Amino acid sequence: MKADAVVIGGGIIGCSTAYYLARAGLHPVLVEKRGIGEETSSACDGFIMLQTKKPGLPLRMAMSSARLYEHLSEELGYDIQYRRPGGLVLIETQEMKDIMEGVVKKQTEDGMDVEFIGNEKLRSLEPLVSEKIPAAVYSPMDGDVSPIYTTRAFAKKAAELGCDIRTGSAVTGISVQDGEVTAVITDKETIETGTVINCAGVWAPQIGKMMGLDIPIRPRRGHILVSEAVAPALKHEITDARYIAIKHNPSIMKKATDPTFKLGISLSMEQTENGNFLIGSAREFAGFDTDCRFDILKGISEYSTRFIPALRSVNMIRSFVGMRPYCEDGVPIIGPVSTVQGAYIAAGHEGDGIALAPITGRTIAEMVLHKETEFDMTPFSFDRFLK
Amino acid sequence: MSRIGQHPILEYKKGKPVTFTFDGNVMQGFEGESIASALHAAGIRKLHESEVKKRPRGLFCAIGNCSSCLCRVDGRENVRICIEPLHEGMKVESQNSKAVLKPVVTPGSIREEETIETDVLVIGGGPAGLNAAIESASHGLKVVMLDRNALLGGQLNKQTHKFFGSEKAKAGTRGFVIAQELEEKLAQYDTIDIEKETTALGYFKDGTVMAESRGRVLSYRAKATIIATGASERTLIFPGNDLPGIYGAGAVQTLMNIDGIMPGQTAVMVGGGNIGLIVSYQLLQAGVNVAAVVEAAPHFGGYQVHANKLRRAGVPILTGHTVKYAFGGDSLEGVVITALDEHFSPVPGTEQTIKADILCMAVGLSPMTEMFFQAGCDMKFIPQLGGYVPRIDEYHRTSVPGLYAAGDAGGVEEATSAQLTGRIAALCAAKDLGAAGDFERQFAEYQSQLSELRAGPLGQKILSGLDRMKDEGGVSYAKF
Repeated sequence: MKADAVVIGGGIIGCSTAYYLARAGLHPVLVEKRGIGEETSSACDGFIMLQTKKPGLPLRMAMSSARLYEHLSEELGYDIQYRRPGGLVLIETQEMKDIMEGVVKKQTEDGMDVEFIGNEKLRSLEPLVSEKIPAAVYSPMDGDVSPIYTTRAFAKKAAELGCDIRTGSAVTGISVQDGEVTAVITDKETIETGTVINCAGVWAPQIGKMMGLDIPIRPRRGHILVSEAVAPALKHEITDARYIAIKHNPSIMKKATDPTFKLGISLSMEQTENGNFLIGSAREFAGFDTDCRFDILKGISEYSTRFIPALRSVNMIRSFVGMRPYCEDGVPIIGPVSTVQGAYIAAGHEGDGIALAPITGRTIAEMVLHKETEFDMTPFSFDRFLK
Repeated sequence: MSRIGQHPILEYKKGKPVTFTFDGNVMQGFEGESIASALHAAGIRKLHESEVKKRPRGLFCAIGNCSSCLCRVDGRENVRICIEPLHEGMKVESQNSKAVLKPVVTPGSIREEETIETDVLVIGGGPAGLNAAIESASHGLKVVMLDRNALLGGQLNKQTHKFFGSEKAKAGTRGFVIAQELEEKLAQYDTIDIEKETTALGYFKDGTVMAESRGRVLSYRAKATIIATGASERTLIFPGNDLPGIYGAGAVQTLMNIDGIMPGQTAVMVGGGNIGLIVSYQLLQAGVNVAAVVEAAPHFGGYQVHANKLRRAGVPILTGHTVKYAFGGDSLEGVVITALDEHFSPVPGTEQTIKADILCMAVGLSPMTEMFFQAGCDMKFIPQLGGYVPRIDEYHRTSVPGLYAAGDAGGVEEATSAQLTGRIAALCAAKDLGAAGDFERQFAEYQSQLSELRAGPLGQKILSGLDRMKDEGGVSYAKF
């Protein structure tokens, strides 16, 4: 068969990309080795948090993506449970306050609406927060979404617009002739195409190898605890300053004395529509191992109750880990590969995949159609690894 | 509903009388019995309403599995009152919506508990677990046994009938007496640490077992872990199957045989296996009228002797029948049953209405396999053994080194074989730890008892299940 473009990967990035390509009038094929949204896109929380994005291009893209999310339910004809309740970054120590001051300054320069608040204001916004937490940064721009619904809604709408979705199809090879992509070969068929978009997330390096590319992405694990459902109690998306500090500067963990800090544990918390709390988080490199660790679950429990003491009375009913595609320099790869004509990469978003999915898909579609993109994407180009 | 005055077999040991409230109404009960039982004794079966459709909810499993009984107790939400002991002055309330969180202003830090090391960890204190603990201790091993209930013995406590099998396997003794005897034997070993009201929650890849004990998180690591978590009751799908008054057979046994409470006036039993037949007879013993035993298959599956006892009492056993729907307001008022043809399809025009306030479900058990899945055991779907079970060899080793399966958790059978598989798993664990002196003789002894037990017609199902296990490679890594 033939396709205008082949999207590899049925996670949120691949499905978004397929949707924006189909919306632009192309007839792409999406190939996924398992099912839509079965791997990392359903093993995460639903944060669309702007405050956690690195100032600069990641933050500006995230703000643009948040604007796309506002109308996405309508556009896709599916309630993806997008809400924008605002977000809080809780600050426990002076060290963290100092870090956040630098972050907030840069975020403000990028046009973000953020403010420092004290304990009184914090507890009026979010009564469950401990009186011992002196400060927080608040932004009304933070939101959340159901990542599973979003992924499936992108896929469903893409299919309605003419995208051919092949689940249960594993890519086994990519044919490149004279430096140009000519076909994608799966365990079921050969799809002739001049354009291939590698949206395979943590598996992007395996796809890259098929074209001789060495993509520096590896799985970074996150743990999430799931509580029993309780009546709506948490009003905002919650993280803490340590979450941002570790994300922007992983080496900070090594110097830490607090055992939870050493394990890379920080706070992330939201309450789902059904009432369950999703509580994280930890970041670690453990290959593709998907088994939960007891010390990390214990650490997350301990750490989260420092901020939200009421959690002590809530039963945790499940836990899971999810893989996040971590790119060597902490920012994703989005764009064409200069050495292979017709090859694109959209992968390596780590924990920002949900927030950046709409803008990533739209940007790739614009690139494939040689249209002008909203942002200069040079900093995210794969070429940065070719030097 | 009321309390059973005189029972032909049981004498109920009751705590002191206590007063408590349910939704503001003052009630009496006995210290230590479950809150749900005390409410049943007071005639209350509707415990709360479902959150969305406002349907009445009552007790179903009575062993803390199903969460149908959640209430607010002294301000604590989501309390499973079927396993929550009653105390003086308790304030019990229907919980008709999700729990409401109250901010706790003074957080203490979570205590850093050391991981407790032991030779053998036994998870579950029923017939399999008790025997596994005793067997392990008899080889000089240090044992920790976890059970989520306040009372050890698991389902043995509810069994008032005399067991079959060989004398060594305690034939002729009533289940609750066996439980008492096992607990006495257990008490003879000071190397067995018994942790009651402790729920094992997780098996981690490094062998750590996480447990919750009265609000504390504990962790254990053992050289050998024997999982004897038992099984949970199944139910059937039909309109009205969530009405209060519809119980698992085990719940009816708990009410009658442990807490001495009449579950109602008239019962319909679904399921003609041994559990259905035995519990029907126990209902009669408690003074409950049994209107019918309904069995979908063309023949009932239990022992003839149990069926005969029912027939002599005038209870019809309706084979080739099933429940079409149940009806009632706040609790069950009756059921409509229907005949089935040879393809198990309802035969139109055969509906009968039976007025009943108890519908008792004895439609099989599913092994409680969560821990095996968490441990990454190779799991096999073997219908004869109750569904998904860990692949085990004849020494009851799972595919995960150091992890053993015993009792119904490794394949649904019955209480006597659970005792034996508990023995075998522990004996083999002791052997693997180099602690079983006279292994060959003891192993042969337990095996022969088990074979004897499985020799009857009811053993055929288990044996065919075990054959299937063998086909799945279950014996491939057995080594002496």
